Amino acid sequence: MIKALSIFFISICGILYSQTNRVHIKYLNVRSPIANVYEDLYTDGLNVLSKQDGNIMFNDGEKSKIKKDFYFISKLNSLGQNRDFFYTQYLENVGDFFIHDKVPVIAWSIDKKSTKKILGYECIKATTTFRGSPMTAYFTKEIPFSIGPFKFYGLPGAILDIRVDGKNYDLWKAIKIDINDSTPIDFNPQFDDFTKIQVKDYIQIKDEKATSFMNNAQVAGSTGKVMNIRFDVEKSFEWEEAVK
Amino acid sequence: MKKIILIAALGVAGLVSAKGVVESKTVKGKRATVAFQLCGVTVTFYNSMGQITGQQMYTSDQPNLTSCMAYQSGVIANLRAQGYRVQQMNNSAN
Repeated sequence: MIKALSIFFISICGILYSQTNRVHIKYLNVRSPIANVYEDLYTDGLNVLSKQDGNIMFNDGEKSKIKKDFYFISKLNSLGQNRDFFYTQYLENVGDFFIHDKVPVIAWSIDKKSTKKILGYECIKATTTFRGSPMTAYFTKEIPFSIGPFKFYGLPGAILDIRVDGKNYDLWKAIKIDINDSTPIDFNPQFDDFTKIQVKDYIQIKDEKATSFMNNAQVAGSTGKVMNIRFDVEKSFEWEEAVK
Repeated sequence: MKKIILIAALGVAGLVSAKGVVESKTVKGKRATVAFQLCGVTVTFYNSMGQITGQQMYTSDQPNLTSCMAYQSGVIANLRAQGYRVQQMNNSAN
């Protein structure tokens, strides 16, 4: 009963909030040990769009040769429901993809006693395991939308900081928040030239491509052994768990 | 008597001859021993968008630490020369 009331309250808050405000949260995403990108998350209280910038900031100062913005598009829904994401990716020598991914409910564990301020917002700690990666997030109820960067959602407020435990990359931290944003945003961008695909099929292509790539990377006089090909946040998927 | 002396002389000659066969030459050969140890380097691969695409471990037998370190650097240089964006694992992120 309390849960239902809280969901109702958050929904009402969200609707009221969205009538006058559009939220923009800018994150710094440490993508890997050598590269950072900015990610801009927008919501109008109904639609959610997050865009990872194609201008990659390499630590060695090198500029991006391929500039590909990655979009993550979804709609706000009730807590406790799967959420449909549509997102874009690019595989070198293969092409652009527009991918549908029904992300299962993320089982968050909220620690109300662990709080910290981020950009002036009171944030609460939450932890989970997201597709094989243990994660820690801080979210704020002061922005009453269940949103986050990448495919993260399911908390009763906006995620302002989220990172994979024990790594110094695969992390997102908010660096700017505008709760009255006026940037013109198309929440339903079209990707006509992209290959439309389901996430399961896309992951299969991506894994095959990575395996082939690694097998070709040989050094004369050496014995090579491929250690791993999945280094993203998403290390395992629900359909793989089902097979086990 | 002569016959006995003759038999004794032949016996002594036989023993001398037999001793000569036993003292065959033995040659001590020198054995050079070089110890090789497995040397490895784990390499992280990145695509042009800065994403990690994989990790591979390369190994080779090397005689000492200096050679091993040279080999590790050589692997990185070789892969970069082939056009791969790589980094030796355990290099901390900047």
